[in-house]
Amino acid sequence: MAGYILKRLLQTVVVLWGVSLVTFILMNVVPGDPVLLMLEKRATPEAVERIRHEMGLDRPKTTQYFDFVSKAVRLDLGRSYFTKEPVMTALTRRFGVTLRLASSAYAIALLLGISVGVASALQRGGALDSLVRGGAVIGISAPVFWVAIILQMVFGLRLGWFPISGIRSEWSFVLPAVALGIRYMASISRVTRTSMLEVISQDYIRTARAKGLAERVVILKHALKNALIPIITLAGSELGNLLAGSMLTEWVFAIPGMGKLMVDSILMRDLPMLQGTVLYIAVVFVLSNLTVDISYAFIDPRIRYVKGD
Amino acid sequence: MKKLGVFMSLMLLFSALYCASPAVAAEEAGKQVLRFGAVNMRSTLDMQYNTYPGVMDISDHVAEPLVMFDYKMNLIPVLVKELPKPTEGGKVYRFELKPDIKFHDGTTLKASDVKFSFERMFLAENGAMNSYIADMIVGAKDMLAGKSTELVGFKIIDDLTFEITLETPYAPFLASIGTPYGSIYPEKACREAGKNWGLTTYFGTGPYRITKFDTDNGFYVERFEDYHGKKPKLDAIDFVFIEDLNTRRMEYERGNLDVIRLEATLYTEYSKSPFAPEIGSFTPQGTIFVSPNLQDEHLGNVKVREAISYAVNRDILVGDLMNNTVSLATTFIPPSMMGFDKAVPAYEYNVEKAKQLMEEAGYKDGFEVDAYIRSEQINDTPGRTLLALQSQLKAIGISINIVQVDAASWSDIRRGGKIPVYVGTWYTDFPDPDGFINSYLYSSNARLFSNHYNNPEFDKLLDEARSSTDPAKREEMYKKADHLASRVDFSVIPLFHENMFYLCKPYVKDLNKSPDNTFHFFDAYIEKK
Repeated sequence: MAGYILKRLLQTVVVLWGVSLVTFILMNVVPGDPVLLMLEKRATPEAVERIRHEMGLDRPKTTQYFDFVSKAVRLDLGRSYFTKEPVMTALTRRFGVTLRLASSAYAIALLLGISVGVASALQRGGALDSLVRGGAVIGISAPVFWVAIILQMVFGLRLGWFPISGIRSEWSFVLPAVALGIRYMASISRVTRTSMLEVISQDYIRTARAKGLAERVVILKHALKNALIPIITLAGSELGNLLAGSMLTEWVFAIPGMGKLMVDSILMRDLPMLQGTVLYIAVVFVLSNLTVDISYAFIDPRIRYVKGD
Repeated sequence: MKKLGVFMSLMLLFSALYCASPAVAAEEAGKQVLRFGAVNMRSTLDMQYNTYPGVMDISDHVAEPLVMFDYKMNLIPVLVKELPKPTEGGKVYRFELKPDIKFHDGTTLKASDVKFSFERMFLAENGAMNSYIADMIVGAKDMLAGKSTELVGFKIIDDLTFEITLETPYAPFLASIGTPYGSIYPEKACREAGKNWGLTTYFGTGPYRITKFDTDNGFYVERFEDYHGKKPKLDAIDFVFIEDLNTRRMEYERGNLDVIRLEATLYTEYSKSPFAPEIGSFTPQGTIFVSPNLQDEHLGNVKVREAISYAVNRDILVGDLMNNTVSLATTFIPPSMMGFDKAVPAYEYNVEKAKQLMEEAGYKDGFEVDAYIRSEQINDTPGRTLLALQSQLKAIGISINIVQVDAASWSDIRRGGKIPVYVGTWYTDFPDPDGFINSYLYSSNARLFSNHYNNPEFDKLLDEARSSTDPAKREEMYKKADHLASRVDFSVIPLFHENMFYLCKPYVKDLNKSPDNTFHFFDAYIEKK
């Protein structure tokens, strides 16, 4: 297992290098000069040249890239072109905010998604099942910004139960977490339902019932545990998505998280900040996938990682 | 199964802990705190490194230039005892600082701080963006070129007195350094902060000092008790960053914000709502216009440009499109600015004459042209105007293809001179025509905006006007220059002047909004809510 993890971590280095190179090339190919954006109407040729020199943008592209890589390995990702803030500082701060939002949304998605999915499978064809399936379709298809605005209008503006935006109050993350979590909850409930339906039709479940085990034990210990593999796969990738930040939720609720930071960096051609956010997202996905793969071994004893995997 | 239960419980606990972390910056009871819904410009507060009015909203309360414009657009002394009268043919300005002005760290303002602030603007390695406001000072250009590290045109006489010498007379010099870009910073603190100035530390001599420095969520500024000028009435201003317009509106309607900007497109909706009495407006010094590319194969023909002017029904734009929230433009220079010519009549709407001009230009069957727009402006005034023009110009055979691009691409393409035509929005940096008509239409500037206007007679008028010290002569020269550009050469086709709107709670008093497109809460106070 240790060898497997080490191998995957080494692969991460290659992934990060590739991601940084692709990002660098793309940002240098698309039109848009951060200096022109910065100077706006004062972009005289002299001013542009001077600021490009100060920012190091007049150096050869290869030099710029290798300079970035050599500093990045020392965890120095440079400074934002616009705010002048060190990228690592911004990433660290924004990660804290995204983590709070993502963990809240994830908790909602997992707890409610699995519970509702199990209940739906057990009531297959019944009213609850229909309700859950219908709700899941709506949850998956409803745009997150629409859900967010509805929540803001009802629970923030009209009822005044929760803050409409910002992260200044202890209740600030409730509405964004619900808005963000609903979609993931719907996906998880669907997968849970399908997986549970498959498992509860298996012989060993019938055997467990025939042995006289309590239904609660049959469902939770025998059925759900065996149904967890696809749920974990989905939940793992969704954890990556959540930690990558949600631009729309963050925008609507005025939450300064990673998603908004990345989109702003793209729009403003803030290459150092963009490189930082892209590398962060790559790390998040690689690690969440690794965590999922490792967790299989703990959930299902039949899965073991051997040399060559 | 127990493991799963434990895991889920931990998840719930984890999220509950995160959700319930302490609130940030609760408002102190009994204080007069104004809450302003601001947009995060994602920029340093340092005014030498940004050009955003949204940042000025905050910075103007914290740092001050030597002189500035009041609500009525009069230039007033701020850090100096009086406005200096230029000598030696308009080249030398002698300033005397008010005594005992304190920075927010308790240190006293000296002439050396002023010199430091100007030199910082010009030092080549600093890469400051707004050096243009004072680069006519002797030695500035050498510093910008990296040939020198000292501003030789800035002479310190004593701690409170200094003299600035210009290369050539520049009439709007005081107006130019009276912008927020000319803010004076404390030398010692600014040097110590280095690149973090404006990012983690920022202060000046202004009426408010920053007590919560949060570049993500907003700034909290409190009254500076040792302020040298008139003491502000508000105890504090809470600048809350909310970028989404709808969210800002909801926060305002719920009573969580006291003042927000209101997009012109929402004026009609709000004017019919219970919030109608809370709508305020002001007219910034700016103009909305058609900017043709004079190097374009079709638009390079002055008859085509004149035809466009005749084919545009400005009454429809002002009335039906903008619901009379704007005023008709008759010149490029806006009405409240020197050089505006009251005697000029409205542009004529005459489609037949426009068709005749098109025929004379050899375009009887019209032509197709690409009009560019920034994608985020498509639903705002420029986008709506462009859509209306697309419809109106069909009448003379001009078929407009609207091309949307993101802001960064827009800057790149426009500076490359490749945009055939666009709806321009132009606002002045300081209330002087030099900061308005010169910065857009002077030949060396016009090419930066895909306009390419180049008329030596026009340039000569502007050169003379900027160096003349006689206001009456300047006024006449700007009137002539405007006439040349907008009525003879049609290098710009003025459409209307925008009003800006905001919502302000009735208990906020004396919110004197000036036409400089930034909010100043110097005199504002809160009556009992």
